[in-house]
Amino acid sequence: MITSTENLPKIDIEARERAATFPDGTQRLAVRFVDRVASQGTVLLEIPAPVQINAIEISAEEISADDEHLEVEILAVPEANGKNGSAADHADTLQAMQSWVEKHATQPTLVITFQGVHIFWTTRRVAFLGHPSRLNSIRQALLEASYFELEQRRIEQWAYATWPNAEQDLPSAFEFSEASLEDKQQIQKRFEALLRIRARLSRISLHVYAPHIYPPTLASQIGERLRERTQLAHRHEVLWEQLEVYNEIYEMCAQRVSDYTLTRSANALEWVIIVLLLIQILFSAFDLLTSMGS
Amino acid sequence: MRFSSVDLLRTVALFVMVFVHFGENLSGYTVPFAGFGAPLFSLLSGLSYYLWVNGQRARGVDEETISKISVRRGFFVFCVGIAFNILVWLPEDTFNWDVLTLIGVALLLLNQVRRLPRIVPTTVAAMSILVSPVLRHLADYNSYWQNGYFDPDLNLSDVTIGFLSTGYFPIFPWITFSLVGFVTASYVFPSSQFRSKDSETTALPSVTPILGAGALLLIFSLLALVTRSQMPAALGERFFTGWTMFPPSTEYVLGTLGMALIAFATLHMLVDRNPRVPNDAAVLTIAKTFSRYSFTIYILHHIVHVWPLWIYAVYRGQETTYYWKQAMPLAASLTLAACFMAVLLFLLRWAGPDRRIGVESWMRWLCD
Repeated sequence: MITSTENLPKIDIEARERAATFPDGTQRLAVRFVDRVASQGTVLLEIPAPVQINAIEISAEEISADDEHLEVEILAVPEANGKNGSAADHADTLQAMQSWVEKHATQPTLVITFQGVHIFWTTRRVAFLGHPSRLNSIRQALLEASYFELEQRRIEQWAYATWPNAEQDLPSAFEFSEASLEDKQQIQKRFEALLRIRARLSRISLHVYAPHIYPPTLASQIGERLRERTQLAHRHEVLWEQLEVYNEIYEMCAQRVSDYTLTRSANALEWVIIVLLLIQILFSAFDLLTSMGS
Repeated sequence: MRFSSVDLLRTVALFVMVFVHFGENLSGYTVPFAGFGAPLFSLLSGLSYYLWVNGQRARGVDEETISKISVRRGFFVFCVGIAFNILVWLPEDTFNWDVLTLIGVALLLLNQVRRLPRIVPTTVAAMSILVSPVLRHLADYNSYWQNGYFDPDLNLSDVTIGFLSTGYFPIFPWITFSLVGFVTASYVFPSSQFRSKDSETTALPSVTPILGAGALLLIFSLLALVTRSQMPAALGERFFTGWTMFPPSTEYVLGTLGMALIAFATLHMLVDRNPRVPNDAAVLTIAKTFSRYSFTIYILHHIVHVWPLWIYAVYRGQETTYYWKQAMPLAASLTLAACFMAVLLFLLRWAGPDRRIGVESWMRWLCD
């Protein structure tokens, strides 16, 4: 069963979190996704090639508010005494989990209830409740899904931020001039950045378009549900098309830059020869003028 | 887009020019710093032209319109220069080729080279320095100068030769300053600096190459001056003729060019790129006021100190130029120059920056 956050009663998040008491055995982890070669610390998850990213545990103080690092906080709550806890306690725990997740959230929380597992998901914070024996596999699935969502979201942000630059460079795709030469390095940097971003996007394609796994497991189904709920495949397609537009612009710019630079060197030489010829003409004319004067 | 370094340098050039002219024309005395104003002025004409072109581009003016305005402005300055010669130096000096006619032609040439690779104006500037001594030799420079004044016959060949090589400010080698100014500006002020909506700030180029080039030119000039006596006769008599402004010797051109480049690079580094220098500092405000009206000041200062000489001589029934260079002692003429600049500053500040007065306004009204 999948529900949305709108269906839940409005709560005072701050008060809830202050009062929140999670059952014994609750684990709160701060996780950073880093390149496999640069990973130091406890590795919680290894995402295989072509991504080659490790999820490592960091301290809560290391979590940064900016988007420089791909980080997520995860709250794993075990069912109290299996399913023997009272219904009121169970509801309180769920509400406390939701309020914890929503504390820094900038978008609505995804709420997924699935095979007895309750998941509250935002890009930066994830809380889930499940049977203690399944916590580890659920956490792995959520970490993997979070990484791909975060990575795609970061590429989307780059793409949106790049529109003004692309519009600014658009005239250079048609005509390149002496004044535009100053922009050559900038265009080159933007083109390189675009290629790097496209490479990053292609690396996550394998996960985004992965077919459903058969026979399904709880972890695989959680991953698939999150992919659907976050519209990862659709967003990936749109993003790819957007990057295609950028690619066309910068390919044309690169072509113009190359053509102009080559022609310019030849022209400069021609101009120097023309200047020398003009000086020769000047001498001849001047000679003529001085003889007229005398 | 105004740069304080340009305003400061133009103000220095104006002060040098006013004091030199007052001293020379009223008292017949050449002050020691004579000969530094005109090179600075010419260099700044090229520099300002580059800034103006980029300002126009930033406002979205197309290249064709910029060219048309440039040509109109070039002709305007040239014609004002001719009119100035007739009205201030009297009709017999119509074709003495003063600095205004030079700047007018420089604007026309800069419009042609502004879209070419930097190597082209640099080559033209270098060639201009190289061919100037040859042209002067071909023309027999001294035969055009009588008692230290340019005095050509009024025929086509002499007028043309004067324009190209033997006048007060002939194209060769003076065009070098405007071209170098333009090339310098295109290096120091990248076009991206003028795009207000630029989303990424580009790193400003270092001014060290400009400083280095200026120092090299200056050192070369000094070396040429020192070693002139040991040079082969062909070089020592034709190419390196000592430090003279009339004719503009190679040492003089290289030396003043070097000094102007060093002064500009230093001021640009210390003022334009120094965030601690406030834009509304008193010195900068004064410099901006003078710089904004430099064209007008050039004409006006001649009128206020030369016309009274002509009028008074006519009134006394003497030859028009009777009092020229002997009107008053040096102290009085330099005091008058100082008073002129002070009164001018007061009047220009009183008029305010938005008042459309002066030759600059006429030029904008007619040409833009």
